[in-house]
Order: sequence, then C-alpha cells, then structure tokens
Amino acid sequence: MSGPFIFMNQHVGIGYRKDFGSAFLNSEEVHPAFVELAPENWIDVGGYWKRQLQKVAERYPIYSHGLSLSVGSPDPIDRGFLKQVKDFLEEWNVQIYSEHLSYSKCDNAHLYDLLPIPFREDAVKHVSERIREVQDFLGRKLVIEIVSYYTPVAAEMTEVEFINAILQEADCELLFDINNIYVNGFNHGYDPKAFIDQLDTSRVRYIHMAGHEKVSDDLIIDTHGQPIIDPVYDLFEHAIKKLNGPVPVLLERDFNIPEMKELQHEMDRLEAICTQTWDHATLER
Amino acid sequence: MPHLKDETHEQQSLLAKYTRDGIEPEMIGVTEGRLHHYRRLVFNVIRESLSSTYPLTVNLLTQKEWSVVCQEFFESHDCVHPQVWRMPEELIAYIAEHRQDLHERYPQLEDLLQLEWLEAEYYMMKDRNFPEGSSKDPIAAPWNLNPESEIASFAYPVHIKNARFISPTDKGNYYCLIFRQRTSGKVKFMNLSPFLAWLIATLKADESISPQELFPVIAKEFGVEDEALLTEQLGNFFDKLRSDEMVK
Repeated sequence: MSGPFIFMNQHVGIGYRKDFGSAFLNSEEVHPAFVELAPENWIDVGGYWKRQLQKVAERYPIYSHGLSLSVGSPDPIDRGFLKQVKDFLEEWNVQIYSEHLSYSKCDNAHLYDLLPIPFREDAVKHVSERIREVQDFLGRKLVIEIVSYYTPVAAEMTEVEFINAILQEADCELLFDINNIYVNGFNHGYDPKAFIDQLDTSRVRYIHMAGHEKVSDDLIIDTHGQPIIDPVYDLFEHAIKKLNGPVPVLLERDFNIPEMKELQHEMDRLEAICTQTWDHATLER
Repeated sequence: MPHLKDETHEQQSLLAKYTRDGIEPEMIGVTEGRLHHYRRLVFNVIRESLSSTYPLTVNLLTQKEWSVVCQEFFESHDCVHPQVWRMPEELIAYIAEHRQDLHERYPQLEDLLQLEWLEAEYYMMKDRNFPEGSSKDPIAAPWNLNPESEIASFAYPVHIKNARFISPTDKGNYYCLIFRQRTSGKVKFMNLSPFLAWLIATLKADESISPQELFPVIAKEFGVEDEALLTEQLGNFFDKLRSDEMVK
C-alpha cells in the first residue's frame, strides 16, 4: 500500500495495461485515483494475471472501458458476451462501464478495431435502441465514447447532431474523449471548442485524455502512444469548465510506455487543472 | 421493426469488408486517401495478435507464407470471438481446412500450432482449484493432481525439438503434459513416455484410484512386473511432479 505521505490523485486515473502491470504495482511513483481496463482482456482470465489484477483492485477502484460490444454494429447485440461483461462488472465492483460509439463487428465477424458509424437518422435510431437494450440488461447507464475517425461514411447529418441525438434517444451518458475531439477537429477541419460547446455536456460522466501521432499535414492518428500535447490540455480545460461538477479523468497510454514517473507527471498536470477548476471537489465513489 | 436502412447497413458492410480484403470499395461520402488507414490499423491488430501467439510458427514458415496465411485467414474467416486474445485459436481450424498445402510442406505444423495455442490458453485460462489436501503417499494413495493440466499427443516432437529441425523421420507417438504452475503462473511442458501418459490420464480420470491399484493393469498392459522397481520409479516421478507443482 502507498505510504501516508503520498498524495493520491483525486480525479485522475490511468489505463491499466499488462505491459506495465508489475512496474505499476511495485512503484510508488504513480498514484492514480482509479484504474481502467478493458473487460475483453480480463474476462475468464486466471493465473498470474488474475492475481495481479486482484492486487490492483485492492489498491484502486476499477473502471471499465469495453472494446467488442460494438453498439454501432448492424448485427444483433451478442447477449452471451454481454452476460460475461455483466458478471465481470459485478465481480470487480466496476463503477463505470463505457463503450465506443462505433462498430467493431459486422456481418458476424469481429474486426477488433473501431469503425465509424454513418451519421444518419436511421443509425441514430438503430444504435439508440441497442444502447437501451444494453442498459436494460446491465441495469446501469452505458457511458459512450466519442471516437476518433479518419473519414466520415455516408453522413447525412453532422457529427455533433449525431452524438446529441443518440444521447437523447438512448438516454445514456457520455465519455468525453478530449483527444479524440481534438483529433477529429484537426482531421475534419472543425473547431473542437465549438464542437464541445454544442454537445449536451450535462450527460458527461467520464473523460479520457491521451496523446496522438500526426502522420501528415492533414491527418492525426489516435495512437495513445505519445504524451498529451498542449492544445489538448487547453481543450481539456475548456471542456471541464462546461461541466456541472467533477467527473473522473483517465490518462490513456497504450504504446511507447514511458517511465512511471513520466505518466505521473501527466496525471499531475491533469489533476492540477481539475483541482483548479473544481475547487477541490472530490469524486463520488 | 428494424431501423437501419439497407443502404446504411451496406455502407458499414463495405467498410468492414475493405478492412479484411483491402480492395477499396466505392463508398458514399468518404474522404479521399483516408480509408486505407482503417485497413492498416485493423490488420495490424490481427497480425500482431497471431504473431504473438504463434512465434514458433512464424519462425517455421517463410515470411511470405506467414503474411499470406494471416491475410487469407482474416479475409475469408469470420472471427467469432469477442476477446482478441482468443481469436488466434481460430487459425488452427482455418489452416487445417484451407491450407492443406502448408501441412504437407510442414508435417509438424498442426502439432506446433496446437502446442503454441495450448501455451497461450493455459497461461490465460480461468483458475481451477486444486482439490483440498495433499497426496498422502506416492504409491498407495491417489495423487492430488493439478487440475490446470492436460496431456496432448503429438505426431512430431514439437515440445522437445526446434520445429525447424524436425523432419519426417521424427514422426512417432509423443505425449506432452501441459500444466500451469500455481505459484508462478508459468505454463510448463513435460515430455512423457506412453506409460506415464497413460498413468497420468488414468489417475486424472478417476481421482479415487492409487498407482498401487493399477499395478495389475500395468503388469498386463506394459509388462512391468517388478513392483519394487516400479515403486521406486513412480516415487521419483511423483517427486518431480510435486517439485514442478503438477501434484500436491
């Protein structure tokens, strides 16, 4: 356990990865408020990794961010898998379960990555119905993430109209991925602050922050492999001022994992912005 | 009543199909020069997952053979498992069904794929608890065997020999005990003689039976009638299994 003089983050957590599981548990250099993990990577996993996760769960609250539910898919929801997710959330006392507003399965084949849903009215109704189905099954609100995308597909409405319509129709909550909004603004030529200003921020339950990679003059790929850049911190500050109160904030880092203290440095910077904005409010846990 | 219009579904299907076959489709309202990133990102996940599960197979096949089989697998096989770490298991049946030519070129391939998948599966699989208590006697009492274990039979010695150096002359009947150690979580492989494979399988099948009760069968089926020698050798085997955490 951390010693009594170590300052624990109040708002900012970190994505837990097997890659740095051992360093994470054995280091006093990171002290997140919570950890997030993908249920797909842990459902029915035992042995060494389960014991590691048990140690993590003894120290930190666990939030969960799904990869394969594919709420945007034309296919039916996989009820068997959803039941596994439900059991997992209960077993680990997971307080927030989020998923992506995208699809990763189509025509009965998993693709294991996030594809953009057409911004269309029929898709709004279809996806909303599926989100409601998930919420009814799980007995909790689903928190959906605004995903990064590199091209729209068959769009008949704007992205922000699409997201707001789904929030309204599905009566779900929103994961504000600030980096994704920045990436999308850059890739599709819109002002990310104006985008945030148009969103229904009353439904924001959770925030993600991450780095990205600019691969050409007009394209950023959402890699989670670099530190957060200053404009994304600025956008974060803008975004959280729109909220009614504190929500948990996650630092995502999936590649090029640096020293733990570098990750903590990023979390500290986010924590300072949160504390300044939310006036030392604490999260409900 | 379904909400999704056929055209919207079709657009989603076209993008999904493109990530699998790489043949750029005609789609509505896409930004020029951007689609290929989806193909690249999705296929990277597939290839990385397959390569990390089957490093010995990657080493056995040529780079081109491995690239082609990964590509063909993802293009023509509908991956069914929502957990990406389980997806590579589906490659085994795919190769058996569609790439018999690889099995002919590499007779050891089927066993190698099986061995590598078993290692991945055993490392990750859900815990199965040892029954209560310890084995009271290596000969006269039942063995408390690690429930996280199984015996695989192979036609080629992929568990004891570098697959690149296995030749058709190595063909035979091989038995490999696979188990996960409780304390470290590591997966171990142990080469077994046909007799020891039979013994472990028999003791696993009936947890109330002791090795001693099998002595008459051992004498009849394996021609081992020297009980003193058998007792000594089984005692040594038991000690090894216990030190490896295969028996408690």
